[in-house]
Amino acid sequence: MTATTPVEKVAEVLSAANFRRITTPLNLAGIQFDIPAAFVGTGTSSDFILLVDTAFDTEKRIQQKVEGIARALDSIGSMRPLTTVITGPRPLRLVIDAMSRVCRVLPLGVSNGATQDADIRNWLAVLLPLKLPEPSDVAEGAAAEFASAGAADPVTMALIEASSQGREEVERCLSMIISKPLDDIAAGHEI
Amino acid sequence: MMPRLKSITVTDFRSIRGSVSVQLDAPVVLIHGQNGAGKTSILSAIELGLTGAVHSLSRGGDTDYIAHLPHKLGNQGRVALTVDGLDGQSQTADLIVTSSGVQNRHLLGVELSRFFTERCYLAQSTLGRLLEIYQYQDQKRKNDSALTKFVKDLLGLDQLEALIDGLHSTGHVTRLRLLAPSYWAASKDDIPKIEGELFKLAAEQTQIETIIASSRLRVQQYFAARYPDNPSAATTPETALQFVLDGQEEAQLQLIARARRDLQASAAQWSLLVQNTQAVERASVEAEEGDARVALDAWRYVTGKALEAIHQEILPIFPDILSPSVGDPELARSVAHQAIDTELQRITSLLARDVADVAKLSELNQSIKQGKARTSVLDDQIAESAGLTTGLAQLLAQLVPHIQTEDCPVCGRDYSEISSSPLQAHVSERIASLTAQAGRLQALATDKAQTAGLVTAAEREHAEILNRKLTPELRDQMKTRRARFEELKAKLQGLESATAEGVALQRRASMALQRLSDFRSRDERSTSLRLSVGEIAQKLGQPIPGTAEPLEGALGRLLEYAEAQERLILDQKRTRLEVNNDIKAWQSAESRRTELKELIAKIKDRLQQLQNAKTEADRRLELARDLGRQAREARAAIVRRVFNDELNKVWSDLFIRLAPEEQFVPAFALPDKSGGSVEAVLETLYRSGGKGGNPLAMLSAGNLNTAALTLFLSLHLSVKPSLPWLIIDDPVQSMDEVHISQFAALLRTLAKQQGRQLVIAVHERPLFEYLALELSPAFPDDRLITIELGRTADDMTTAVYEPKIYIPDRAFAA
Repeated sequence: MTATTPVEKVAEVLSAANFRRITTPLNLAGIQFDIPAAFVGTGTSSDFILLVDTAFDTEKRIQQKVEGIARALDSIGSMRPLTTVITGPRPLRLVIDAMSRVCRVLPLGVSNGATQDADIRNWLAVLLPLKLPEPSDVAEGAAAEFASAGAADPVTMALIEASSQGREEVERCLSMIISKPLDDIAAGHEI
Repeated sequence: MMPRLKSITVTDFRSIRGSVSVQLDAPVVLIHGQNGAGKTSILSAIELGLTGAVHSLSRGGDTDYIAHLPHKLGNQGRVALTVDGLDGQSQTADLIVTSSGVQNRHLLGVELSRFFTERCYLAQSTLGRLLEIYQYQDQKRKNDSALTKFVKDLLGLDQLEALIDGLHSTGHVTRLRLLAPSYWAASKDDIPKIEGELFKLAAEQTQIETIIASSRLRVQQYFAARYPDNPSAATTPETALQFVLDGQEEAQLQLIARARRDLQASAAQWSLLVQNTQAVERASVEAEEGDARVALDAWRYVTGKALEAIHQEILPIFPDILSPSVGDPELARSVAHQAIDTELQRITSLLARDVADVAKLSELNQSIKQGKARTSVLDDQIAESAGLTTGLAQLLAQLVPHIQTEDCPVCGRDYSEISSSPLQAHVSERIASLTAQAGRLQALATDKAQTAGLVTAAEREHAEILNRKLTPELRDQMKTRRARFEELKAKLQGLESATAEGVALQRRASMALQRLSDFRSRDERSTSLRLSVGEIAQKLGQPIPGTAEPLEGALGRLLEYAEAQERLILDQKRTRLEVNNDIKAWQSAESRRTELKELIAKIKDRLQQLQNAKTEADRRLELARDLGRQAREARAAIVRRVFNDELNKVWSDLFIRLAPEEQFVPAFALPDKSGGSVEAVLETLYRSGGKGGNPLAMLSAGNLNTAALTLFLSLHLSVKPSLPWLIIDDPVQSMDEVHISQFAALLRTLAKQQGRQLVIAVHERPLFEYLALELSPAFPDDRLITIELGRTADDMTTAVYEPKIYIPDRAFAA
């Protein structure tokens, strides 16, 4: 990243993710809103993203602008999901909560230089495309694979069958299977 | 063409009453309804239509759940599900559900059914358990952690685990001790014990054979010597035993013992007789006896007669006295002397008292006379004073107060005419005089009584003495007897030494006589002794001793013979007893040999059976062990396939999307490549790399929930989407708003970018609307279906179904 302001850094990330920057100040339903930058999604995304910087505007002023933009979008029946990315020092919780009622708020805050870029990416991740690794084949059903594998002996069959009713049943079945030959003798032949 | 859920019609199924038919043919289907409206019923109807079962219900352990699938007011439910793109065509399952079971065929085969339940459908109950996973995780018992259970549930490992755990005891024989006690006992106790027993019995068998050989040899030797003309006598112990019966020698031994005892007694008697029989001594004893008798007779004639005379004289006076001619003369003499002496003392004292009594009588007569004289004097004095009574004195005393003047209150005369002293003084004087008189009278009376008493006592003594006074005749008789007794006493004293001599003579005579009679009895015994020795000789079968043979020699001869005989018989007896013991040993060894043979055969048979059974049990054990090993291998393979780096990567990515601020991300500790049990251990990783701690400690509650939810999504996303469906039942129950908005964005990504068909049920109205907005169609051919479940007044389920299509946005030019 070569940008020097957080707004521009965010702008770089969004541009790279196929968001289209639109000219500011915004003109919505005939009202003009002066904000540092704004983006809209392309393709399958319909996101509308506002970028603001608390270093340049007061929190109160930012809140009024965001609420104004939301009302303007409503008035023209726009279905675009609205997101506000706040750069600069993080506003009061109260202000964020108020804005959250009308849009998604991503307060980036200010972190030390080393993690700044990573933090920005993390905050913006939700807006970025999901990159999935090459998906592996689905594992075959465990027990199913198993049941078909070794059903040669009645002993094995009985144990597999018992396993559907839990561990105790398997133990009971095992006990019975192992004890039976000897128990049979004991029953018929007591010394 | 990817498989897609098209539509479902649900009738009287679980909480759905009546018939509900909804379209599902959209990338996103949102179902809303109050709790109990039937959201979960629709989702589980989809599952039933696909897999023929409702696993979220059976996982809870309730195997009877099928009975409760039809709505409680309808006796049969129905689920009709249509899916496109299965094997390249549209298929419809039409299932009839009754309390006894499910009829007709569901859509998916075994493999796809498993895929669906493991990786496509997150039931509410499963999600609920996701929360528990962290709460009850116990680090020490990793195998039993709730997370592990969840993972096993999700992967259908339960059965495999049951098999592995159930077969755990096949791993080592000691573990079978409790599980299969009879097998354990057979291998550890019974078989070794029986083998040990057999070994011991074989040893005993050898020993018994030795005993039989040696005892039989001894017996046959004995018989060959003892019964040479009866060769078959010792063929069996039973026949041999007939010849050596007990008690054969006893009668003989008793006879000899008795004869020997009698002989010994005779010898003892004989030696006693020989010792004392001396002819010289006998002659002197006879002479002595004659002398003693003559001396005694002489003494009897002189002293004995004198003593007898005295005895006769005193016999009338002392009838009990001993006679000197009967017993010991000295005793008779001293007793007579004593009796005479005592009588003499009595007579002497009697006569002396009589003399004293005469003097006392005259004394008493004098005293009585004097006492009587005094009594009469006292009588006179008492009579004199009798008129002046004390009564008068008292009267006069009462009168005194009435004497005021000199005039007498009785007669009225003036006392001054008579005397110059006052009347009152005169009366007082008179009273005093009268009182004194009375005292004297009292004393006189006492004196008289005493005197009279003394006189009476004297008179009584007088009468007493008179009474006992001897009559003159008696006194004379006494005097005569005293004189005679004095004489007799002297005489007896004189005879004292003579009597002593008589006693000695008597003793000497009787001793001599005794010795003489002894000699006579010995002669008789000697004769009878010779006779009895003769009898004994006869009994022993020996020559009877003749008169020529000295008795002593005959006794020696016979004794020697008896002892030799006794030794001989005892020796025979000992040998016979030894042989008898040998025969018995032989006999018991024979019977033991037969017993052993049977026992060994029986035990060998038993051992064979046991070994056969154990071989069979071992075979089964080996099969079970194999099965356990295969199961473990299968499990390890599954675990390795599922829990891989890809899963962790996807999970981490998803988790960061939902919780961008969290410093830690959850991850599975990847199972050991070598297999082993499933240890679904969670750990956290710093985003910057390096391990964190247990998620329970590192993550907040909300993020734990997020971790669980994303884990499920990761499991779905980390494999090829055989079925590209995600059906999630109310997933956001305990999420805060931040997480919800992030989650909504993630759902959108999954639906629109990853091409998954989502069916999401929510029960909160605002959330439903928020999701409807967030997931609304974003491009042409994109579509959202919302379904709102409700109920009519008569409790029938209603479904308002609304497909939303893409409307181009007018806010910005696209």
